[in-house]
Amino acid sequence: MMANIIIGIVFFGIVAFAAYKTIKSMRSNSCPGCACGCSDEQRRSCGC
Amino acid sequence: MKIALAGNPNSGKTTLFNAITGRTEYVGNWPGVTVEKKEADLNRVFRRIAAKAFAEISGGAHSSGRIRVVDLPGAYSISPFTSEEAITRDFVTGENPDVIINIIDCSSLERSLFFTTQLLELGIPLVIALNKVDIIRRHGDKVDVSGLADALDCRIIEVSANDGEGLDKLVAEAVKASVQDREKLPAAGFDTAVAGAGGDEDGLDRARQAYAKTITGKYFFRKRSANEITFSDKADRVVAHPVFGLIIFALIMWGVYALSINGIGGWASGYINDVLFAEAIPDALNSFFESIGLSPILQMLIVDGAVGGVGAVLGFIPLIMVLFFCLALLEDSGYMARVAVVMDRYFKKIGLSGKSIIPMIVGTGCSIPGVMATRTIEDDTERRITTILTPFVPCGAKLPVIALFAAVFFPGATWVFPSIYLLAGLVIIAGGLLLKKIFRYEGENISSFILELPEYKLPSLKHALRQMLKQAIAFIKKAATIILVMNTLVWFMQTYGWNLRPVEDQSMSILAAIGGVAAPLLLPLGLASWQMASSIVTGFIAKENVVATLAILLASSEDALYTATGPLAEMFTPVTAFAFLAFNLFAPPCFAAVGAMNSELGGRRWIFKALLFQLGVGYAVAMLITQIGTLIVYGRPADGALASIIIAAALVGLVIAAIRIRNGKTRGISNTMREENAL
Amino acid sequence: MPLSKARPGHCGQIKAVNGNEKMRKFLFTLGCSEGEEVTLISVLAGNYIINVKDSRYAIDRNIAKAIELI
Repeated sequence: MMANIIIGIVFFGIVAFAAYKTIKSMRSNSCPGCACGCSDEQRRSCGC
Repeated sequence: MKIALAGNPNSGKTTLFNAITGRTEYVGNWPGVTVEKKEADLNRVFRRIAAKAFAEISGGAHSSGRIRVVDLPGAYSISPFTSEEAITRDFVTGENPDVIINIIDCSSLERSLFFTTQLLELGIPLVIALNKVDIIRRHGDKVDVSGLADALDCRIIEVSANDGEGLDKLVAEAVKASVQDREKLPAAGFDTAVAGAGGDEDGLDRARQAYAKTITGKYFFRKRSANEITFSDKADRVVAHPVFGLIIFALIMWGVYALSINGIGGWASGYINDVLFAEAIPDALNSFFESIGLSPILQMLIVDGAVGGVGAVLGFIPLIMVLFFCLALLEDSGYMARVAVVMDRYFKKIGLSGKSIIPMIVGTGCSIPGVMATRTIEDDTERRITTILTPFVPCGAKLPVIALFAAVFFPGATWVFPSIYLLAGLVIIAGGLLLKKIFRYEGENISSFILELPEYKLPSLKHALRQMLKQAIAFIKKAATIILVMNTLVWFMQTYGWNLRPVEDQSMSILAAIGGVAAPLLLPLGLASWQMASSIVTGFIAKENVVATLAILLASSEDALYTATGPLAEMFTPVTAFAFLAFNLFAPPCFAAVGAMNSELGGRRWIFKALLFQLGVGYAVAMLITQIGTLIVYGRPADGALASIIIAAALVGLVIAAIRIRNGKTRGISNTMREENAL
Repeated sequence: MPLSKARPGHCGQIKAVNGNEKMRKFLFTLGCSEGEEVTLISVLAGNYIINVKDSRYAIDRNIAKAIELI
């Protein structure tokens, strides 16, 4: 049971963080990573 | 403190920017790569140099504070010709940088000095970075730097941004100039030259040109005339030949893709896919989770959903890395400007010009910068058409999809990628012709083509390696965020039914229900299964998701996804597999690229038209491949043949109607013009 | 004589630049204007490769027609 809780929290923590990053960059119409030559405004709003 | 980098296109501003800030902004050896201003702090080494220079002049009283460097798009003059040149003007005149570093490619000194004279008048401290000194040294030419500096009355530093020569001195001088040169007036010699010309702007500009000519003559010593035929010119005769040029371009692109997909890149990808993500990692995770007694549902979510999906995408990293390495080398060599010259005549036929090829070449990496690069095109209609066509070029994110399907359905074949590119080329031409008919007024003149041809140079390995690394990191970031999130969602939706209980049969799941709605629409394309429909839908978030989603949906299969006998082979025939690739290629790109298109097209009406067009093209091409392909290869009509004939007829009708409406408007306009003339 | 009629290797002075205002201004900033020297290096794939002020440019036939040489 402990294992389920710990692994669950870790995994969903990672996914939640990924979702946060994704939504942040989606709002500025860019993908996370910004290899695609985002503008400075886009970069600022997605924080990379 | 703010340092602005300004100069002519292709003078090396971004290379310098990257060198002093440690960033890896996109650089290419052709004019017009940077279309937006980029800002960053000085990196640690140069920050220390700046601090030292500041302490020297202020006696250690103050610190220089944070130093921002702003890289501006290239411009030949302060009065803008295209929208990205306006950014440069607005910044230097509106945002008062503390110092401008004017980068001059010293092999075209006279032309560059025209812009310099305009910058000098702004009253902002100016330091000239005389770039590419290594090149003129090799030619045996010489610049009298101290003489030139006296004449212009500003600091001039010889640099080579490519190998970092002189940059420390440049930064130190820029810091000093920002404080010491603040109250300085333009050089006396220049003042009289301009003042003597009278008031109007044209006169002033002519005086500037004359002044630039005089001082270039005085301080620049040329060993041989620039009119002489050089090696570059001789190479151009072959490379930009109307027929050989096309063949050479095709061969080079074929080579690049052969190397990245079938060569080292493909080999390394195959290894990672086969060994790492198919066996080693899932096995290790499974045994670990079983040993700690994890709930089977959570175990499946992590191993099949997250790791399986993300892994299926991550496996393609080597392929992407080799591709971007090769493209960076090509771009750095100066070859791409020649491709634009060769393509110009063909693009003219579809109402575009050679300028439109540059966004498309940039688009081989990612459609977003490709779409943004359309800003260098002056004509509105031409720019819009290019914006709509640029996503048709297979971008880096579409590669994993193509590579996966090529491995399953056409194992060992080297023709898959070239044929996809050929198809893309043909569709771009056909699409351009259509758009020309739909959007362009009769008799509207096509914009003219002018492009500076940079000299060929040996591409820098270091630069290519850095670009490659940057792309790899971005790819991993993308896989770890947007693709991971989508995979988790997809896994839940294919595991649970509407009652939020795990389903026995995948086809009862939420995803199957949603995908099932779209599936009948894809019947004429031969893609009528909910799995295909849902992978197409997730592909609009990011194209790599197509691979990831298929990996999750087919995870229960015994065989690995990318083997010729694997689960994919049961879903597609080689013909419908190709149609699926075509649909993914031409149907609207990912949301981020759609966002970029939206901001470049300007207006909801245009983005709506653009998406409709792309969807129509994707649908029509995939349908044609499936229907005609099935008929030829298997000798029987494909499913939905009747429906596809009706749809094809409807599409043709729609296009004709659109052209009619446009022609009607044109006639309307010419009528009103006639009436006005009559009045 | 317009530049479009020149032979490769021809080096001449520009008499006038015709065409629309915007293009003329742009060519001017490159140093391609009245009184300047221009060399036609070659004609490639329908484009004219010219040398103006130590730089090479590819220009299309329309622009080449607009540049009048002495």
